[in-house]
Amino acid sequence: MASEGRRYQRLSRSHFGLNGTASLWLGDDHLLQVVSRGGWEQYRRWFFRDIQALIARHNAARLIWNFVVGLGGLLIGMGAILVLNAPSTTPGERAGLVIVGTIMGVIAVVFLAVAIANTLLGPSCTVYVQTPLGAEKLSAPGRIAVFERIVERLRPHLETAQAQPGTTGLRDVGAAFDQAPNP
Amino acid sequence: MTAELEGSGLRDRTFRCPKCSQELDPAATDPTGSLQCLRCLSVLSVALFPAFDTPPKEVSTASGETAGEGEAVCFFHPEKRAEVTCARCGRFLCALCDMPLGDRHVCPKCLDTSKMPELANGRFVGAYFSMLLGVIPVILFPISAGCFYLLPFVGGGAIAAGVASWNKPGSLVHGRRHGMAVVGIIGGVLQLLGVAGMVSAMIYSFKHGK
Repeated sequence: MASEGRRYQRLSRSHFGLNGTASLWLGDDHLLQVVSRGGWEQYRRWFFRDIQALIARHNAARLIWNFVVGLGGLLIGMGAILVLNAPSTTPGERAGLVIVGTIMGVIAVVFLAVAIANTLLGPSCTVYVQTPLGAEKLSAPGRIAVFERIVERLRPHLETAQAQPGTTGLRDVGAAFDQAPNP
Repeated sequence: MTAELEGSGLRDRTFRCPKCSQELDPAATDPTGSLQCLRCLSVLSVALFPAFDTPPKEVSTASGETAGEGEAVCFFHPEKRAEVTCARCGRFLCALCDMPLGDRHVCPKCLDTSKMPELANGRFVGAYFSMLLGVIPVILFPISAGCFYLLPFVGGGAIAAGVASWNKPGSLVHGRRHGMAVVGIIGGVLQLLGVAGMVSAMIYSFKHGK
């Protein structure tokens, strides 16, 4: 069973969301999306021959996160300055204010670091896989730069698979089951 | 019954904006590979592959050629000529019954996750569950100590899940997670020891009237 893990190569790091942690993997003949929530893993496959296009729609997630995190860091930082400059009557009170102000300052710095990292990671996006049955949204990746790396990595596999002669595209499974007699 | 192609824009070599479903022409892509939807103003980065230009083979119940004298016939349709064999059970299949999975061909009966576990669409990873049960109460001990009467069940559950998952199939991409199971078992043991310690302390203080 340990050999199962070696069949797949990771395409994107884990992307945290409300539905769980999502990641993309490259299989022998298909693209695999894994969404993990608690102990449950859900799999979604797209075979190379069925993938017509990969589409990344630029979104404002990065700006929104920067605004929220930056504003939070700014408010906490201002609070830290106020606390550190607050008047105190006893040494013990002064020590307490310094401790609280320092903790708030550290939190503000962390928020600022998160905002800077979010900016450096580049524009955010939502990725879709286009197949003959339409476009399906992927839970990962969330960055344009990662999307472009994934496309470059997938392109030789898709072009090889789609250049092979033989049956291509999706088949209507329903008709086959309707027609197949019971053994 | 034919394969559903409506809404894909495939025949006109267009595709739809994923946000507003407006039909878009890939020829309008700029040199950087970006395309803007004029209806919702979404900016799209599009990567097209050869399958975009090749419509899928249309399939209907009439698919497959009629078998001639002496020719191999489909297992499910004796009047149709066999074209491939099922990679799993070896049955002869006509064009309609052929279920292509990448480079493999399987029959409709074998296209079943109970027979082909590699096609399963979900899996419970017991080792990961064991680690969650074992680690979270230990990390949040000040909180979990207030609910110590639940710790025997949580800790026992972590140990049981870790042991039960040891020889079971693990994650499809990560394989068996023995390390997680070990962490979960250790966390469960720590929880049980913590409960035993707390109960012992309570009994001791009760006996000595403190």
